[in-house]
Amino acid sequence: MSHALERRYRRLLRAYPEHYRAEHGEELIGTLMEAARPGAQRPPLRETAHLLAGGFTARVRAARAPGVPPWADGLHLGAVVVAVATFAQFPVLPYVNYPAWTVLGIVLMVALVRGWTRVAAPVAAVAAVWTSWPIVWGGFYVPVVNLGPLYGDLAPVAPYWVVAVVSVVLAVRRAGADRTAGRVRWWGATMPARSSRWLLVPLAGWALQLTQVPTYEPTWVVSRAGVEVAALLLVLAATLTARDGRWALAAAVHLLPGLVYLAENLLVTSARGFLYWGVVTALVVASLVAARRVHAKA
Amino acid sequence: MTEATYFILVALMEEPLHGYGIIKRARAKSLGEVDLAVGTLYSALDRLSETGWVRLDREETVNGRPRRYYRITDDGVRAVRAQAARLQRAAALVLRPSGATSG
Repeated sequence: MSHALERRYRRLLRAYPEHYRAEHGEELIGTLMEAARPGAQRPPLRETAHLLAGGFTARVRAARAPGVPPWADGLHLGAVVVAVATFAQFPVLPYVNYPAWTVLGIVLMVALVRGWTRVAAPVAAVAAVWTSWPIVWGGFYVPVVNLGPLYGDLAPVAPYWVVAVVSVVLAVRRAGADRTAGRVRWWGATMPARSSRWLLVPLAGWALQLTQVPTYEPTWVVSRAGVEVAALLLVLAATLTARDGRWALAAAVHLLPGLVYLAENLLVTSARGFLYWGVVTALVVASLVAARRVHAKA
Repeated sequence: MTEATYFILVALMEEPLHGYGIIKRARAKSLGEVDLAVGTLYSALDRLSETGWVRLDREETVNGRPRRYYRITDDGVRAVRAQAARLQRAAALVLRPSGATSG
């Protein structure tokens, strides 16, 4: 048996997550070496491509939250993304304009990432109602405390409502599941946790504010759109390879506030703006269609 | 059900097989049409284990490497039979045209 081939296959197996390699690595190497042509020194292109795809699939599958239905997991991830993206862009630094609001944001994001839906739901609901105050009450009734920003447009309040509605749905779902299981818990993880690395997003956003980098400049705007498009392409690939609709659902939740923004600014949106929204929406729709198809086929 | 999934289940219907055994049996059963890549096979086995259509049968050590044998479950047999019936109905529309014209 060729040692060079085995070494090359071992290198390829790094496409798989570590826990998967620990569990199945040797088994895969055994099968790959059995299936190899005698005397082969390099992995065939086809096998290489399928191992890379298999590794991606295993990583996607490992990122699923265990013990919850896919729709709840997808909604949860969508809410996490919307929350961290919203607070990353909220002007926190260098002048601490809204200390209470920043604390509220941190509590909300930690609760969402840790899976404490029953903490996240009321906090998100307060944030949504607070920011919409002028829309609901007009200018008549100005609150006496300075908790956070008040908006007169739908676009800036939309993310707060998306996070609030999703958090409430998840909290209600979990309450129902607990009742059937005969236990009720108000504190602690009520949903599986998400990687705390999500909290790096707001930290990075605030760090940028501190450096006062002009993030409205074209290079920044284009690179942010590039990251978003790349992420949505990964969502589409994940939907197809892992045959799982949750990633498409998360992407759709993430898109909702953007669509509200687009609807409110339709008349002032440039051709470039339409191109961006068109691409992003098309990718989310493609993922949703793919999710439906893989669901029907499974 | 994809063609790969179908032939993996078909391969396991006679006896439990290990990874390369499944690849060989699927190739033979499909008359060479289904040539499973190893990456594809293990992704499918992960999914099928989760669905409960396939489960681990036993583990042996060959040349110092673990060799796992997979077994089809009763649910797996039901699923592959249902798919075979669907394929048969679809094939009958073409291969026995009398059935289609008599109506």
